[in-house]
Amino acid sequence: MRVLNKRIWRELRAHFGRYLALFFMIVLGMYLVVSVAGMAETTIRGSREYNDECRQQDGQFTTFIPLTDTQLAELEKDHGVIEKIFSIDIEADDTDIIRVFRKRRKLDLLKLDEGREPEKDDEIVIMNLYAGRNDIGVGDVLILAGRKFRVTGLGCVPDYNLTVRNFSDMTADPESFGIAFVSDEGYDALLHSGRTGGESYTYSYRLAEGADAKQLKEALKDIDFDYKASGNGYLIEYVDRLYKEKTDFEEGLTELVDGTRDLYDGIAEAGDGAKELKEAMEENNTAFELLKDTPYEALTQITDGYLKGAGELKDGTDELLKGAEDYKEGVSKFNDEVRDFLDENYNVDIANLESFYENKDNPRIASDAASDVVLKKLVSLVAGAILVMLFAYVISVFIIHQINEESSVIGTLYAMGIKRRTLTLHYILLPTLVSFTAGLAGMFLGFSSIGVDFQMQDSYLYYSLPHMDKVYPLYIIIYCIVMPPLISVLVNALVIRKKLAGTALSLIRNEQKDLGNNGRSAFIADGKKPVNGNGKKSRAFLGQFSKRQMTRERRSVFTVVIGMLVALLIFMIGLDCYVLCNNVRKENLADINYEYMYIYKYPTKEVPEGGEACFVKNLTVNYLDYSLDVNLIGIDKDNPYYAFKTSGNKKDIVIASSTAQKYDLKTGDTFILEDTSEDRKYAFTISDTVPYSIGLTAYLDIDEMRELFGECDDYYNMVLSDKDLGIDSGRLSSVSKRSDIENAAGIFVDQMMSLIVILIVVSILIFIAVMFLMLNVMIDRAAFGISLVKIFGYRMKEIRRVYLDGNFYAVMIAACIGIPVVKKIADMIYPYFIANTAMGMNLHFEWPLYGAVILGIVAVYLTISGVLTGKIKKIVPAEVLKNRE
Amino acid sequence: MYLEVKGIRKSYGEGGSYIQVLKGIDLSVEKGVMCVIQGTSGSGKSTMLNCIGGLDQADSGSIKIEGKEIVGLKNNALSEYRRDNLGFIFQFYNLVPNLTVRENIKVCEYLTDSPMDIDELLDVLGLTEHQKKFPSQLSGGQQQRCAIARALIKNPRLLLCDEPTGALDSKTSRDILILLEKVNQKYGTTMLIVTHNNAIKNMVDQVVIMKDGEIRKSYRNDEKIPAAELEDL
Repeated sequence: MRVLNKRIWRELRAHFGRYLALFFMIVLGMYLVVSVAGMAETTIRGSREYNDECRQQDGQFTTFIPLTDTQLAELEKDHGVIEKIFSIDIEADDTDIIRVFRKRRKLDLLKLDEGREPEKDDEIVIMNLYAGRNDIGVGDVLILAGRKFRVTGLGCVPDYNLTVRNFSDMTADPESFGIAFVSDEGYDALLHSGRTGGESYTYSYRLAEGADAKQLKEALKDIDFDYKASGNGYLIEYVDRLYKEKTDFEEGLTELVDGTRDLYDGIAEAGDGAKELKEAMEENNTAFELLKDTPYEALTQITDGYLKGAGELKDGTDELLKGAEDYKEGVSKFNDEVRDFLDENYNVDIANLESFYENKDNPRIASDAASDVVLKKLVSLVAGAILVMLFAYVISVFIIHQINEESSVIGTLYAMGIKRRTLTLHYILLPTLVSFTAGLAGMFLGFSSIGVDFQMQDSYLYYSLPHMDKVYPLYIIIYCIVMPPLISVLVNALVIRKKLAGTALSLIRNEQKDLGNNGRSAFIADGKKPVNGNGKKSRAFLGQFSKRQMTRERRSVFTVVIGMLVALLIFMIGLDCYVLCNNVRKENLADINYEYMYIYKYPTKEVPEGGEACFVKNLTVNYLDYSLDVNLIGIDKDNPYYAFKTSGNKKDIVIASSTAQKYDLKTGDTFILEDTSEDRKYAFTISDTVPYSIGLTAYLDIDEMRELFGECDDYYNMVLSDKDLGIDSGRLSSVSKRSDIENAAGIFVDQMMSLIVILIVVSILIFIAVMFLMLNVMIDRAAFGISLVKIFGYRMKEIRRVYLDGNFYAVMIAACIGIPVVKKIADMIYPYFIANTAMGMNLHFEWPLYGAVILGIVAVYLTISGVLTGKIKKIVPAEVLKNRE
Repeated sequence: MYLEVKGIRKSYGEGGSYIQVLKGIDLSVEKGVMCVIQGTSGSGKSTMLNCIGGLDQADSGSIKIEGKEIVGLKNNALSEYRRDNLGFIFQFYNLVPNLTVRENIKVCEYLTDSPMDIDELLDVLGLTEHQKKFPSQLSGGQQQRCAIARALIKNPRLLLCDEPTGALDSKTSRDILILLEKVNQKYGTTMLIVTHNNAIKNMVDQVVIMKDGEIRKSYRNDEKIPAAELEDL
């Protein structure tokens, strides 16, 4: 055995190019696995440590007015740590927005990459990502709201991992949005400069053990809220307006109650008067009794009549009083019930809680770098295993070729008593060694600076992260060291054992198996004779010869086809990515009809002139473990910015094509949207899908939507316009310009481009490697036949037709069947890659692109075929014959 | 003259391993003649046959087939030359292993506009019942008969046979030689047979004896013996 194994080094030298190519491909595969999975592990573990070290929040909420110290203390006592993370947005360089915070002390602490925290009122720390994109360094001076700030440090915080400005933004734009931290004095100076947007009263919280976010939310809602004490004119005006109708009604009621009381009092007084009158009349009557039986008796009779009338008057006023009392009680009851009714039905939620988010619903945290890489890790591990299996199979084809060549020697060794196991081990040894060393080399390369570190650049370019120390997970090391040789051993053992299963004699004779035609020759199937060397029959003969050659080489052809399909799958995912990006950019640009989109915090009663009022509500859809916002937009029938009609009722919604693509929805489907702030779900039936690509949106008639969400008849919170309406920034939650959306689409494309390039290049390399290696081994195996037909006088094109062109047909058939199948699979896989991105999924290819893919395959085939034609030309007839003999 | 070879030289290697295999060979063969080239191992007979067959290039000299020079021809032209003129029979048959007997023959049938009838050929060579078998399923003699059928199917003007009986027993060798003789007589095919078998020279028209890269003797055999009567094969 030891003597036998001396051949291994010789075999390696003899086929050095072949093994080098295989070595290279396994190294490439392992490099990709290690670099991607290593990057993923580094990011996941690094993020975990970073979040722990900087005490990442469990969630955050925003209030209309700041909580009092007492309220905060109460909340902290019951629910956990709460910290103010108030901020102000400041425009910088006309286009950029910098969100400025005070230094944090308890949660989401600043992690500095370099420099120090701000101490003085003119010092600032800038988010590393924004600084990097805008060439800002420590020591630079920034002017914000007219004040100069010296940059003392660059860093990041764990609540701005993905630096989206608003939660509903499709993607982050770290070039034009960044965050910064200043000292308390610096913050106060900015706040009072009068040159900033309104202050956002946001708090981060970290729940105490056993505490629950829902309880905290309820506690916040229960806090007494005197909005008039907020000092925020926009808020007071807004809430007052909401209350106006109720207040008017209540005032009317009060007047009614007061009037009733006055009426009752008046009647009571009238009753008293009647009583007094009756008493006076009684006294008067007693006095007139003396005149009885006198000529003035008639006066007595008159006073009797008065007395009787006074008695009746008193009785009447008594009844009136009783009736007035009943009336008063009735009005009082009416008053109470109407007020209850008003409280119930004019339920304006003015709890001091503008928004409440747990981390899972906060895209800055939920869509962080760590969540983004989980799937990449899984895909890389599976893809690595598939690649190694593919190349193990490629190696086995080589080995079988070698065994065929050495069949008689093997038979002789069998005959001399060497066991099959010994020979199997002998033949497995070299590919196993190659796989092992390649896996090892791939691992080292993957962990090197051009591996994990290089892959990390993507995370550092898109997410605001601290520098993370590279990790070396044991499972990746084992994967690289064990998996390639193990798969190589398994695949080769399986294939070689079968090949070595023949008897010594059959191996010595190198007997060919019947190739599956049941003894019926492929050539004589038609039973006719070829006419001449150039006729149709002759071409048919060459075709049949080629077919037979393909049948002989079915293992290699199968490997080429499988390799091509694997490469095509990777290519198609890359292409899907490219097509998606391209479609996003193209469609977004086409779909933006407005120049400005204003989202209000406190809308005015009247819609600003030149603006189109809409009602937008952010609802949530849970999809593939991610919560994404879907904007339900209420629009007027004649809204000029949306060229479609809504259903006109509350139950049926129209959805944008992007939403339909993302969630695979169609007309007639039920679409459930969740209002997380109210813990309420809404089920809609989709009445239509309309072409609209920006974000994820759905549409209702604005009046129906107002009714559905209990808003007044003229409510709106979004205004679209084709010009700047100059709305006070204090009223607004956000403003999006056309250019913002254009930039966002561009950023998404730029961000994905490196992945697209990697996927496409890797797939092409795999395709080239597999096809080249397999066609090369086919030529090696056919060298004797080629030399023979050369001797007989076959022309080059005839030799090519027999020995190469059959592959072309196999490749083309596989491509024509495989491309649509692979496209379908890629389309099924792809949504998982961008599950955390609020965008559509238009993966539609135009037919020319399919044509281009096929042309690409043809080009690769023809190139390789060209190279191998050169190899065929070099096969010298006499030389091969000499070797044979 | 059908075949004219003049001053052919061929060497291999350089320096210490330099060896001159052919040292200026002159040979003429008339059309329809069976010619045997005989010699010991290393005498250069196979090299000369390869040069005539255009499988190997002579260093110098001239080889003319029906007046057409083949020395110095490019690969494509040599290929056309072989296609139009030659048939080959090898000592180790060199059949395509994954093709059946019939398919192996059809490989060469394809090359000509006027091939011989394949069924007739199979019948003549006694291969009809084996036509669907693969080479590994045949005996040596059957394989060589298949190789002969393959060479003859295109009815070549010159048949080059390199040790056609070298791997066969005497009975099978005789059968093969009878076949070659029959083909020569029936189709007038010119044959160059390289062999170390001394008996074969008795059945042919012309005998060339080679040694150390030179022709030591060349003569016409006027007392041909039919192959069937050859002894000591």
